[in-house]
Amino acid sequence: MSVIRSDASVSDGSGDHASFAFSYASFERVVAAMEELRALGASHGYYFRTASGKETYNLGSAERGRSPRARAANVPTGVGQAYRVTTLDEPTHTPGRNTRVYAAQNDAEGQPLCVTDATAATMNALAKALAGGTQDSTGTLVPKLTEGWLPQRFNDYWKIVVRDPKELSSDDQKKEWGQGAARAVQAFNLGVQIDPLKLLRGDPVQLGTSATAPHHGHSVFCYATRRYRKDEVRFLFLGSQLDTFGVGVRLSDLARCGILSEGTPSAGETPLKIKLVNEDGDPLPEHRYQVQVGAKIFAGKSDAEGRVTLSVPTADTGTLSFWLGEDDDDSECVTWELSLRKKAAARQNGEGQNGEGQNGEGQNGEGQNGEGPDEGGPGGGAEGRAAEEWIVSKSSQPFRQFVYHQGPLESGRSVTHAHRYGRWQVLRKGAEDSHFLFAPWRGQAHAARLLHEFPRYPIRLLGSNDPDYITPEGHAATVEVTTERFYRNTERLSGGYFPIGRSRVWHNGIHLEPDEEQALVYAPFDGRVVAVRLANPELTDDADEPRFPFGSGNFVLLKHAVEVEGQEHEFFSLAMHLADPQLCLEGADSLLSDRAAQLPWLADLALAPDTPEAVDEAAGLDWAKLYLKVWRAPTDGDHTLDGAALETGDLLEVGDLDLTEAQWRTAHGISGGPAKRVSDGATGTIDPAAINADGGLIAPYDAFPSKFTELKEKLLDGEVVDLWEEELIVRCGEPIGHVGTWQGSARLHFEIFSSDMIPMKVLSPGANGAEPAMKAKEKVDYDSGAERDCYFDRGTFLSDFFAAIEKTTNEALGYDGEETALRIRDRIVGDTASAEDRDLVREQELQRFFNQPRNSLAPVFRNLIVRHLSEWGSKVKWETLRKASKSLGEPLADRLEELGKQAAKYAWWDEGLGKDAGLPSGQVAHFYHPITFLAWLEHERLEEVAKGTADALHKSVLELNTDLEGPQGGGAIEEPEGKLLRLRLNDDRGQPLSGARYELSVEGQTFSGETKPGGLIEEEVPREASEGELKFWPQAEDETPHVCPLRIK
Amino acid sequence: MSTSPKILKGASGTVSEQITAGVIHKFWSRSRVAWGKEVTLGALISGYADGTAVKLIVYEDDGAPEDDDFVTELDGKIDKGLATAIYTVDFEDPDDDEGDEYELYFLVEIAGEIVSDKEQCPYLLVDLTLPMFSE
Repeated sequence: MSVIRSDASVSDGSGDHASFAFSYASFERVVAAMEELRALGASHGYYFRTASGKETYNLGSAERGRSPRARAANVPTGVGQAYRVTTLDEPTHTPGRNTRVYAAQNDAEGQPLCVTDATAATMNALAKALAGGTQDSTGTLVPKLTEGWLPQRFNDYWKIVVRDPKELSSDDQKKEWGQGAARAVQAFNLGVQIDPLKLLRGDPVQLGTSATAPHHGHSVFCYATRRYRKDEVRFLFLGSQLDTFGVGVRLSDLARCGILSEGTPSAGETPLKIKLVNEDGDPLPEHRYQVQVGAKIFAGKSDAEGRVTLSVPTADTGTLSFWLGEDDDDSECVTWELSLRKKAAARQNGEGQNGEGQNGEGQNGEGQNGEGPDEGGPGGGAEGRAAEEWIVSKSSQPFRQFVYHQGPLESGRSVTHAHRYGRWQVLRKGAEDSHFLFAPWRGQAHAARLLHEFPRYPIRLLGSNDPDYITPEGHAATVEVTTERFYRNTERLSGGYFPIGRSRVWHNGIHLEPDEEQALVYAPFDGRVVAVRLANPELTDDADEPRFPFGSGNFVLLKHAVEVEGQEHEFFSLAMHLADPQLCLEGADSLLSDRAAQLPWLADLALAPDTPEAVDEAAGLDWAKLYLKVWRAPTDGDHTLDGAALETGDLLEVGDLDLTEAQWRTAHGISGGPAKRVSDGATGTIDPAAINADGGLIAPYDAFPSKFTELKEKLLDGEVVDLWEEELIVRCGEPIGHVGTWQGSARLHFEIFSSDMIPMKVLSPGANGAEPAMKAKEKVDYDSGAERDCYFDRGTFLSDFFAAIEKTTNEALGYDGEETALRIRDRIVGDTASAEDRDLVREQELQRFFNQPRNSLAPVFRNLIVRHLSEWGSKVKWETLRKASKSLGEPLADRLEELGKQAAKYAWWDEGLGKDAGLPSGQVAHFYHPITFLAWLEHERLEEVAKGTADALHKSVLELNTDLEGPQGGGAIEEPEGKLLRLRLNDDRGQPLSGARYELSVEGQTFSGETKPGGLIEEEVPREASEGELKFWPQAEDETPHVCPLRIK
Repeated sequence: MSTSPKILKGASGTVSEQITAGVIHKFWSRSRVAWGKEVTLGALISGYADGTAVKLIVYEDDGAPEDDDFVTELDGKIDKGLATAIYTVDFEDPDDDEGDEYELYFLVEIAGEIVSDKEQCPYLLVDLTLPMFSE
């Protein structure tokens, strides 16, 4: 049985692996399951099954302090089961301990009632991802491994449920069980254990809760990471907790005190009318209220009719608190979120439908109250709320201050709050192989990385991008079905074909038409962001002309690597013509746009300061330090620094790069500690919780995104930004952008290219009537080298191109060139009068050729590998396009010149871009039909799974793409001194040469040793090294070495 | 118009067979051409003596003959039954709403009389399509 072994440097505790085949559970599906649970309104609580078989639920925090029996008695009897997952070995649902998972019922009034708990939520999200939508007859979701049902032991590992006391009889066994989720993933081959310092979004993490009891812990998923220093990772996790009322990301305690309306109010004032009523709709006169918009606080009492009329700063959000009782009892205080943003937009657009004239009393009366955050109360996002009179009462839906109760997981508000106010957990390397988690965990951390099915196609076409997609005929979509869907999606369009489009010149990739506008674009493979451009389509240039006249010039370029049959290949994927993600919305609190929030790699970059005020404020700060901001000075108590009272707007430094746990606790308001005021350097000790208790408002100020301030400025200016050094890793299937428009239509340009030719396999006819088989391509089909005029001489280009592909295709397929029917040129231009005419292919002819639904010659184009100058390269001589009129027609001269000017605006591949990423400096690359390329990788994946013996391919996906280099050592992340040179030695038969002695000479340095298993040599050589020499002795008894000169890229 | 057969008379007597006089076949040397390129056009003509002067009158097809634009008039002579001329494509279509292609045809005139049909002539495609960037 095939097994993916974990990184040898990471102990798996038990020293062995269970023999389970590959199974996949992508984080996207995990998040979807978590979101589903959150959307059910699941509270954090506990499920009990009594001896009599009665199922009861603890509703969590609302019932804290009461006995289980009392809590159970308080829960209405369920009338329906909405959602349940089993992790038992058999598919039938058997209620019991191991099904205390996503327990959902409807209460007596038919409202969903759902509870979950810490490990239940995370494990069952994973189980649901494994179930892939498969339900048994009871409606229970049944997670399956490749072998069958998810075994009981998976549940035991994940939850650290020990059934046999002997299993914890030794320290080693305790360590193994303490690995929890990480151990479960590894043991059942859903992924590999990793060094926790290399944590990435989506990795299951086991947080040890005790330094002395390693078998105690908490299983969660990593939601986001930040790296400040090499021996540390800071991360947010996604789990179920009391303080998030269920599924959520933990926020700083200070943020939970009510800072979520933080921001810089923009200019202007907005009228705000509120009417306070009781549950019967009667006014609440003379009741205390407090409204906060931006940093401005309005406090007072309602008038005789319960009204509050204010003029507040124009802003997106604010909060309203009011006290129901007359004695100012804080326990009777209800807090609302005010969504003010849309009103301003509506006014600007002249859509003042919700103006004051329409909003007389009673418009939002009791009938709308209590209908949830999207319908009735101020927490809703309905337009026009700012100027209308809100009727709010205790029965309305209160504002919860926890991130995932603000909107979907990927909403702009949720992601913004998670990043800005999140309780970033610190994990630091300890002695030897240990790690240290800051409070409250203080134990070891263990992490694993899930395997994803790979590759993924760049957009979702009628479900075809989903591994669980079932065809309308009821069959699982095969590679052939999926790829054909994508091939046809391209070839039925009016242009955008590979490798030549309707323009009859090179087209690096293909165009895809999504099912819906602005559809998500997914990373086709695990990889790393090389460069991006994310411009506003309205941008103009210095001449006030459109910056991008034909459509979106936005792109995301990723680099990927994979090992196939012992050969390591690097390639790039380009998603072009992407929509503007809009980064942050303009407004007081700079929330991420919902679109930007869907792109995890972009979050911190998009949150960088961009307004002059925000940039100025961050300019004096160090992004690697922790700060608190005083949004409102305390009115009571003694809160001073060097004797000077805290003032509104003060920024306080409370933690530096060498963050201590005490500093971290202060930054999150858990305890008091030293602080230094940024403005004057005054120092002292502060107690953030006490400041808030004394009428002040102090909360985290997130300086980390300010490291991206310059990059964000470039992005907003429409510039190309090289992000290689930022080490932004994306997992296969992770959203990287949204489809934009090209020539007026929703189009994604998608291409895959490499510097060196990759022997992609294509389906070739078998010899002597044998079945077609996948066969590696040995050479490029057409190579125009660095020809910079290839766009212009259409006649020559077409003539050479067609001749070349006829020849190479025939050779590759074993046909006689004279007898074969593969005369594509004839198929396309068959009705011409003479051979000369074939140089002049009309765009309609190419369209007709590609548009044929059953074109037997289409595979020829799909299987081509061509090498040429990239159409996005700055070396293309667009300025001389006018000369093309000699072959295209003199009347076109002026138009060609203008076309050249416009086309040049799209070039992004400048000299030096992506140098460190290995982007070919000459801008000449090998281009592949991207769907064929991905189909090949999927073929290789399926081959490896079927073989059950090899693990190199799967392992390489993780190691080559997601394994960040060098977390060892302390100090801030610095520019690495060297670069890793990786060589692989094979013998004459192509077999790896392991254990062979070698000497590697580079830049005057000599490295010697013996090749590792697989014939591998890995040495860190000087970054500037471009040449070297390798001597090696294939056999131990060899006296004379083989000598190979090296050219290092 | 149509061509009508004529009876050829010899020096004496009357031949028994009727031979059709007129344009038998018209051709372009290629079916498509870029602007500025040379193309040969010609007609196979019977019933006229070698050396007979002909005019090859080129039009741009706009549908109905009365809408067609005059392009050029080329002189030639019949040589062994064939009359040819060379045309360097330089016509700029005044109708700018017809896309980036246009088609040419020609008629044959002998002694002031048009002796061929529009329908008799193949079309020469002149392609002025601009390359569309990244399509």
